[in-house]
Amino acid sequence: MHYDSKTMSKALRAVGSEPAGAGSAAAGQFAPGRRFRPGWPLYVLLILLFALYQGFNQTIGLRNAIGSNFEIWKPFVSELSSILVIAALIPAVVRFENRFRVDSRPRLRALLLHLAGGVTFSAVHTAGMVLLRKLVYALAGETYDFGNVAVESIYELQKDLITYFVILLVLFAIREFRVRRAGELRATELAAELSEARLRHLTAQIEPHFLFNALNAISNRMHEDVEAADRMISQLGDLLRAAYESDDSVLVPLSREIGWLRGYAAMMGERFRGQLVFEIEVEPGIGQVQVPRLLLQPIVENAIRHGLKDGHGWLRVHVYHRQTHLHYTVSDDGAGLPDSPKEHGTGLSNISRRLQLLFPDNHTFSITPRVPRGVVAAVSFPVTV
Amino acid sequence: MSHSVVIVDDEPPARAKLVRFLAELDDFRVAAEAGAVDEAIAAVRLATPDVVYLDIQLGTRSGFDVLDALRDLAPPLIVFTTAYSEYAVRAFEVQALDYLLKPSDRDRFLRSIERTRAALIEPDRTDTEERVRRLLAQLPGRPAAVKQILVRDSERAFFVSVEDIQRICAAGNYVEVHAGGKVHLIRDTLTSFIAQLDANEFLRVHRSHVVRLGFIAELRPMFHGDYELVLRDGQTLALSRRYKALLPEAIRERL
Repeated sequence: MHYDSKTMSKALRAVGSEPAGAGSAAAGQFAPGRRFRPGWPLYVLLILLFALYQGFNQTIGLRNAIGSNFEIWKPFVSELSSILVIAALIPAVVRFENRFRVDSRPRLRALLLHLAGGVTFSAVHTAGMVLLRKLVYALAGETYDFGNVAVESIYELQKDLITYFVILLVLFAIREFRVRRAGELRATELAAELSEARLRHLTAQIEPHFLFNALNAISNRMHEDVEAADRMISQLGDLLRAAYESDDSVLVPLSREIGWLRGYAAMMGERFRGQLVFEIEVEPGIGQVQVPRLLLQPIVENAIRHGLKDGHGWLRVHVYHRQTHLHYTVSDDGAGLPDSPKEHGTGLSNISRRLQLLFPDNHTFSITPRVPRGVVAAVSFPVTV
Repeated sequence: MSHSVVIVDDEPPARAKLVRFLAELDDFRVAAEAGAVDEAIAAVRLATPDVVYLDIQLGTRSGFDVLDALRDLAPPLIVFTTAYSEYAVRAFEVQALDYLLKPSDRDRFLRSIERTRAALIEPDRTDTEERVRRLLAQLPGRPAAVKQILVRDSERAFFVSVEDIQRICAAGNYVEVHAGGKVHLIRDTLTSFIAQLDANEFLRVHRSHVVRLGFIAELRPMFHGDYELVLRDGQTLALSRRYKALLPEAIRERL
């Protein structure tokens, strides 16, 4: 698929910056008590199991190093106190990282902020851990000795910095995964919208009524003017070719959309000869601008269907470029807006969805009454010339 | 004498083509052309043609809307024309009504003209009217059948419930409505009167007789494939082959 890379990266950023919703379990697990209450007993259980595991490891290590000359509860208290404090700090780290993303720019700022974050993390962790140990030792009638504060603090600091950056890494990985998944979802959605549009295009182009009436008009025309009938056949051929075309491009050059439009206008002009005025005005020199494929067609067909009751009327399509945006306006002098908006059909809601997917919050689409009569449908979206 | 024709189609080339075909025939002349429902209704009322070529798709409306609005007239012969309308074509076939598919060449048009000529010399076309009535009744979005009928006699006006109507017959400029043992006279034609009734409930069994389906007691074979209908009140009515074919299949099998 050929996406406008600028647009797509913008789309992805938009997804990435969405606040974590209720469904974002990944982030929720690190923020117990906030959005993910059901998970937090499990979280506590995992912490305790991990502490127990570390305690056993420590015990065995000590036993190998100094024999069985120590009280068995001490290594468990040592590990549990450390891990409990880290567990209590993780939500704060998540919130801090959410505020100052590890991958945010400028990079130096992020690095310095998180270095400070890591040092603070270590200070709080060490202090909390020592306090807990002193408390438990006091309850057991003993005194806990942390040792040389400077040496031990630096020892803890290097371990804590590693822990802190591992936490950041995990957060970053989870977020990247979610963004990627959302991006894929968006691409799939866009493809589905387009194939729906293409299907509509197909059925509209070779819509049996259109085709058979066109054939009937040709079969009459050839008795009046063989050259004109010949032209109609080649125009009908162009329309059928456009309908049968198997091309997955989301964006195509404007000239292709206009080619379809002129063929369609010519055929409708013949079918409603003397009753239908079909004006097309395209600003010169913008034929190569990339535009969404098959976007103009449902708007024009809708104008024909609702605007020109009984095939009498005037239709004008104007395509022009202003600053950063391309504009389509389709005006008719028909009966005006229907009372219920749903009469406007599924083709138009498809347009709305496709514009939102391709140009999130950077497009316009409106259908308004025209003075003195009829309707104006207007679309604009960003393009690069 | 030539038969007058009204052509109804929203696309000028489609009308031009029929005009050209018809111009080659001595016994047909185009009285009017119309491109929209309202124009068509006005043209048919004004020209009272023998034949109407009626396009099914007229912009956002349909040729059936034209027929609906003309139910009070002695109906012309209708030849439906359609570019593509699977549903309508099936309905025409079920009711054995004539239609022309667009685009049609001269051969197909002339074959249709032969059928039209044969139908035009038929003195009684009420069975064709009945087929059109059934066709309209099948289409979605038709106006609902009425529940009561307003009757005026010399002193008063009152309602007769449609549920009580057993049969209706034509009597000159009036229709006789037989309901609950009484006979009411209403100034109307039979075709126009029964247009407001449910086509599945009230069957036309004769050019002058319409009977409620549930009021038919018996179907007796007579000579030459003709039948006699015996009604619940003992009355008997002749049923010609043409009308027998119009009875619902379920009835034909059961009786």
